[in-house]
Amino acid sequence: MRARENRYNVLVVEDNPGDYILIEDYLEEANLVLKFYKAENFQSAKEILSEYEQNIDIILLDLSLPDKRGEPLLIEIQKLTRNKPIVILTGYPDMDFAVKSLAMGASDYLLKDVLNSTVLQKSIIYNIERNKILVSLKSSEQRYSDLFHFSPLPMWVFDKESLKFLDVNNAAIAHYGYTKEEFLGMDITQIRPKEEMAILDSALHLVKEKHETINHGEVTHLKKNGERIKVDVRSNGFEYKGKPAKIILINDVTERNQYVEAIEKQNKTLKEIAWTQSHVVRAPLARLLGLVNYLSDEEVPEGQRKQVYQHIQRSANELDEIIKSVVSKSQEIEINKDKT
Amino acid sequence: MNTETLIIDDDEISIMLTTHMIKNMPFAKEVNTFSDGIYAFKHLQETYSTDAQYIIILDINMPLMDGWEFLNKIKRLVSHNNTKVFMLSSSTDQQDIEKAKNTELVKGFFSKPIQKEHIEEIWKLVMHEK
Repeated sequence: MRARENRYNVLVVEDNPGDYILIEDYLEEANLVLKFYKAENFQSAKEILSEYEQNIDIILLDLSLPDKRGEPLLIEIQKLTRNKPIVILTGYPDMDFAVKSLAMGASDYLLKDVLNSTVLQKSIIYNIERNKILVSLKSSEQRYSDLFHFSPLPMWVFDKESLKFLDVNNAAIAHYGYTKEEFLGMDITQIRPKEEMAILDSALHLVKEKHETINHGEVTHLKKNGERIKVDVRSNGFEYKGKPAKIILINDVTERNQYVEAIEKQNKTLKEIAWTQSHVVRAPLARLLGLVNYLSDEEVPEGQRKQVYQHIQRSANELDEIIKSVVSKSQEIEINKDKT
Repeated sequence: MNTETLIIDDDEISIMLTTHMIKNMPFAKEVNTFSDGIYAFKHLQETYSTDAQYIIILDINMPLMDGWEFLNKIKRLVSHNNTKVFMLSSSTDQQDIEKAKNTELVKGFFSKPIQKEHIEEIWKLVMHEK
């Protein structure tokens, strides 16, 4: 007896009761089936698939059902399953359609006339196993494509000879404002300002070992709306669909640069404030302290005291003015938060 | 030996306070006050003598010739043997203090307002040299 893990759940879509019994017999003889799902028409196949698609390992599909047949039937069934192999069973030897259905994604094409237990067993095992490999290959391709397309940083691939864009990711489309079609109709010189053509030229001639990342540093790029941005560019050479190409990773540092500039300006203002504190603010304060000291000296004649009070008043006013100007200066250092 | 004290400050209140503070000191028999470095420099140019002793109380920020420039001007004119400069400034800036320390003629750096302790320090230094 075959181990449980080597037996499969099979959906048989067949309207002819005689053919169905035959298929069932062959499968039982091969001891290949864990569970049968049976559909006599497209409608019932649709219901079974919408509920049990996950459990089913393979679909045996008769191509002439009372409610749907041929090519449209295959297309509809494919829509109901994501990755399960579909083996077509037919009574008519139509080579052209056989080839076409395989091109459309069917896994195998079997003639009912020559069907027996061995043929069916071989086809089922072979198609299930091959499909597993195909599915994992497809999902790995998808994963790598997703890494490119869903990268939060703009990326693209360009042809090393024609400089044409070959592929761009979603972040590049969102960041630069061009649609994918527009990008694919452009070459990379079109996102660079004229004065940086020489820089671009020398960057393109940088020769490094294959697959080694080149850090190009900060350059200027143009968005579709004409806005200039400073970007940090890294590139890597590789082969894209048989052509020498480069993949580019972009990091927009425009905002970071603005931020650094703002911080530097703030630092300068803070230094000015510190200088003011030490030199300008202290002058009237020192005078006030001196005058108060002076008043505490009992030798100071009564007549002079009135004059000293006036000096104190004046120095206090001066101090007040200076503090007000320091406060207004401090308000200048608020960094523009809208930009960050 | 004759001792002359020069008080150089553009702030007249500061001059008044300093004058008041030193009035009972032995070195305050001859006190001259100047509202800018340039006037004090001219005075020294005309009257400096190696036979006299000079105590200079010097402000930093002044409109025409500031304290640093004044020091620069007199360093070829006077000798540190008979001339002692004490900086008196409202500044508490570390840079100013460092600069004063590195100037040979300067024997002290005081933050305003002038205090009794400052005068005592001046006195001690003047006595020590005698």
